[in-house]
Amino acid sequence: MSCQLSLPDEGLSRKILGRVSYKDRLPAGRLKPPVGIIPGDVRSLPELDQFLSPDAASLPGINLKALSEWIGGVIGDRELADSVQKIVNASVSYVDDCVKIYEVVGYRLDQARKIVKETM
Amino acid sequence: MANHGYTGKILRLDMTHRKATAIETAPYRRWGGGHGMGASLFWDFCKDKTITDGRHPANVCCVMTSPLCGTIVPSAGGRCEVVGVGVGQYPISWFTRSSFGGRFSTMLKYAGWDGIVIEGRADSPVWIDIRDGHVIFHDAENLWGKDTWATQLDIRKLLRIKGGTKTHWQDLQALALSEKDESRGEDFGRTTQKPAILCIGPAGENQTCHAALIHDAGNGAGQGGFGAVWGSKNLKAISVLGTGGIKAHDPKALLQARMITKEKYVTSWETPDFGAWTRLGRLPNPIIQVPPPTSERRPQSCQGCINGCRARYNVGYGNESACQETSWYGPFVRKVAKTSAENTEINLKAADIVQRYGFNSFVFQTGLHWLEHLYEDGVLGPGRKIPSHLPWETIGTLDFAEKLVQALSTRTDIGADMADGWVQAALKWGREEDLHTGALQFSYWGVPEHGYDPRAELEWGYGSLMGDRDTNTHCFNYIFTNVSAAFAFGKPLRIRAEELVNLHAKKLSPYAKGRPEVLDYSDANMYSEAVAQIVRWQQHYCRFYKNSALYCDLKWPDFINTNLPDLEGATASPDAGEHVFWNAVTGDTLTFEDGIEIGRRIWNLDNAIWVLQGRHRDMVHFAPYIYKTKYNKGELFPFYMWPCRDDKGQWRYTDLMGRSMDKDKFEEWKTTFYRLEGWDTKTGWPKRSTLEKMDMGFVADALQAAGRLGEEES
Amino acid sequence: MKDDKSKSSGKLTRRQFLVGTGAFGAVMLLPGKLVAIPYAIPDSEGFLLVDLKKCQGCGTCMMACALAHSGVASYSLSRIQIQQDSFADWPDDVSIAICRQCEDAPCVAVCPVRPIRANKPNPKQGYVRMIDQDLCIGCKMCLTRCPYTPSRIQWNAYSQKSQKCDLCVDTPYLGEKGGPGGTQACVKVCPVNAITFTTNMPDQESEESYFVNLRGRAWSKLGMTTE
Repeated sequence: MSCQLSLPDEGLSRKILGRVSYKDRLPAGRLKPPVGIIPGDVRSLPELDQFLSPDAASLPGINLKALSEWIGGVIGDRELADSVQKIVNASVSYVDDCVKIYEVVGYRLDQARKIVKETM
Repeated sequence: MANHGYTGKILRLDMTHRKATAIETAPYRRWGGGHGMGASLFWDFCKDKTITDGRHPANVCCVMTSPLCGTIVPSAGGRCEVVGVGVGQYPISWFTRSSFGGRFSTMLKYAGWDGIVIEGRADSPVWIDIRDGHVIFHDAENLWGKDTWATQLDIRKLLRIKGGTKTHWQDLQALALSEKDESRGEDFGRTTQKPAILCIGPAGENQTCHAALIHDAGNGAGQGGFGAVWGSKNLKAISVLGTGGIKAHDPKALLQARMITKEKYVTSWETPDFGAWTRLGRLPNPIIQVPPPTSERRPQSCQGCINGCRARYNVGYGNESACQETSWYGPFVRKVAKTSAENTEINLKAADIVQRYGFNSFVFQTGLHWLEHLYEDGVLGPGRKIPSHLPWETIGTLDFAEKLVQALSTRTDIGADMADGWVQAALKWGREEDLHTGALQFSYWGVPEHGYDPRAELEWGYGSLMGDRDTNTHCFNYIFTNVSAAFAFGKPLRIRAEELVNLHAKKLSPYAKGRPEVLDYSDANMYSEAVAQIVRWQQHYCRFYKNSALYCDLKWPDFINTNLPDLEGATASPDAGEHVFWNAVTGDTLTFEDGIEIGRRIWNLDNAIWVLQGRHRDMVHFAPYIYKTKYNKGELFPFYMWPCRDDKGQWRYTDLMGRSMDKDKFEEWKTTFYRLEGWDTKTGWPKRSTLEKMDMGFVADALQAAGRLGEEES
Repeated sequence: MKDDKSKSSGKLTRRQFLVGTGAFGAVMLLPGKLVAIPYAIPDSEGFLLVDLKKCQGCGTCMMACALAHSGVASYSLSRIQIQQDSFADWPDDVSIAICRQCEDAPCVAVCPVRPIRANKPNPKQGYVRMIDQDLCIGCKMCLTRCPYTPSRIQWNAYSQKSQKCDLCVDTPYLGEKGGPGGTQACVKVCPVNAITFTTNMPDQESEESYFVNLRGRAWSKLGMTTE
């Protein structure tokens, strides 16, 4: 998919790569039969990237609408949040949405890592 | 009477006097095997059935096989049942059960034993060496303190059994540590096999509630704290080598039914359906939480299994672990792992840790989430209200995993408070509110909610609560996973809701045959008599077929099977149903329904023991959060799909998230359940009339003597 | 008589050399420094081959073998032996011991029973090397002569006789015809199809010639190596 996100500045890049406090975590479970739905949470975008990484072993469990709100309101990346919301609005299936969000989050992380590296 | 399927003997271990005797199986035959036989043996040999802590010296722990063990009954030949009073539940540790797979039950049968009854307490650590009919008590001082893998390897060394494969035939009499036995004569029996060893690790030695029994690298009886029971008896390990065999009543029919199972019910290797909706009929694949670490691996299974659920790899870790022990640490590993490969490695090594410590990782299913919550809230940690010097800031690393498991296994740090139970620890720490808010999701009897919320998957929640533990029986649970996965992927459903429930209803005899409404979990039906019937059916089916005959929970029952044109699975089928195999081995002439009836009797015996322990309907309740909060939609998964009827009676898959449970309506449902079971609805105690119809008048007598017999008019 | 390997290799087989040079009766040194008197016998018309990397260690073949032959499920009575070590890594964690239906079967050569050997090829059943239970005297010489570890001959403690794989010739409980032209219980029952039957004699000079790769497309799709 093509990701059209503008380059974040250094401040935003550090937020993108950073970790939020426990109270600002986003609940996120995992379904792995026959174990069931395992509780968990996400506290950063790098962790979200790992969480959404497709695998044949289990399914991520996350409220995608709440995710876009969390990315915008807690992480502070409105542009990424809007991009995620667009994916949710055009939903084909939950898994398809997760894959697309995984791709755009990965793209954003690469952008942020490049900016932070350049400023070091 | 010929012993078809049975050996005819049960081993009785008097730990106090280090004495082994044989008792006849025949008087216990009516209970089938496994749990039923074990419960009946417990009834006979436990002198104080009021005990509520499994570490009490009066506790009797039974390790039981079934007549199907050591035969080729598909996915039934390799399980072994453990029963006794458990450790760590709340408010009472019930008479409970666990089971494990692997090679132990097969080897025990071939050694000539239908089961083992463990009584009393040794004055110092021992391990038991069973070689066919010969039983030796050995001192275990040099094993005590060792983890479960080191223990098993050391026992091999003590017996001078070589590691690896391609080893010679071994004469049992010629093994090291043998005691002279002139009665055995010249030929003791030979084997190429390694001993099957069941043992405890540090968690059991320290008698903690999360102590498991471990066999080989990855088979564990986790629930119930039986590792602590063994620890309290100073029993470190039981090693078995058997060179005998099990006579089948009709070997031809048995072989034929096994081959039919493979050819008809299992998807073919040539044109496999990897997405088949079936439990029995899939191809072997390890059930692990993470992607496998390598393609260089094999599937690995219990004896007689038709499709293994574990694996052995060439990477040096993770062997034989599957399911929850490979996922307990997952949410935390994700926070530190930089790559998927690292994620897999840490998770599988964390599995190895719990195996070695002999630790039931299921407490972490929701429990570790809670502990993290306490730490992040500033309540738990160095110098805090709940003191802990564990490096919580490193949660997710392998180092932290080991430190945590070690602390809980050795009663150090927070392990000191948690050794007797997690809810008990929560109350001690002043955290009762967590059971009301759902911060601590231990939903029934002081044990974690399994991952299938009681407010959604009713047969799971209700069945757990009306029983003694997390029921952990996946009879119907695949409905949720298959349907929810299809919704998640946006794929067409292989079977529509109405057809699905009707297919099930065909096989739900006797209580629900032809009654698909028993699977309607809609809000309108969730407290109904119909749902009570499915709970009864599941508990009775499981008490016989799974817990006593020892059909594996991961493969049975097989209600629906898309490998067949008519979609009907192997369960209750005339060519490969559970009763078909049972009869081929034992010579019985059971119908499928006969098995359900035996299960009902076993369930009644269990309830009688619980009643003697102090059970009353007033204590049969979920944790408060189940009633006070909603199962929040989307928080941990976007939907929980299940077949439901709408107000027009139309079946459709419906999302069950977003609801709570009404305590008063649940009380009414309990009354319905007790009435259907023939128990006193005021107390939940069995009635004499119910028991006598099942030839269990002796149970009624005991309950009456204890002043706990259900009243006839209720 | 089976076609000899000299046609493909251009070399004489050991048997041909011995027969041709009149070395019949000369002592033969076998793998493991065991000694036997060569005894020229027809080739078996059937052999089992196994994939050591595929076996799931369920023991179903062992139990089925014993059941088919004797009506009793048992490891010690099984004519195929699966050995596994839970604490070893793949692929060294499992080995499968099958009777190789050896060309110059030392177990046959060493059988002392006369005038008819107990352990011999059965001409009515594709020259399968099998032990006649009516003739076996329980001397265990064949058991100790098998050059492989573990011995491919089993000691039946119930009958006090030796027994071995007969490719399911003598399987009253199988319900189907066994032997080289029929069914082998272990082949049919194996859940992962890790055992197969062939009429082509594997290379007798190599132990590995009986180990084959039976992992195909489905195995690969399950994420396991087919190498």
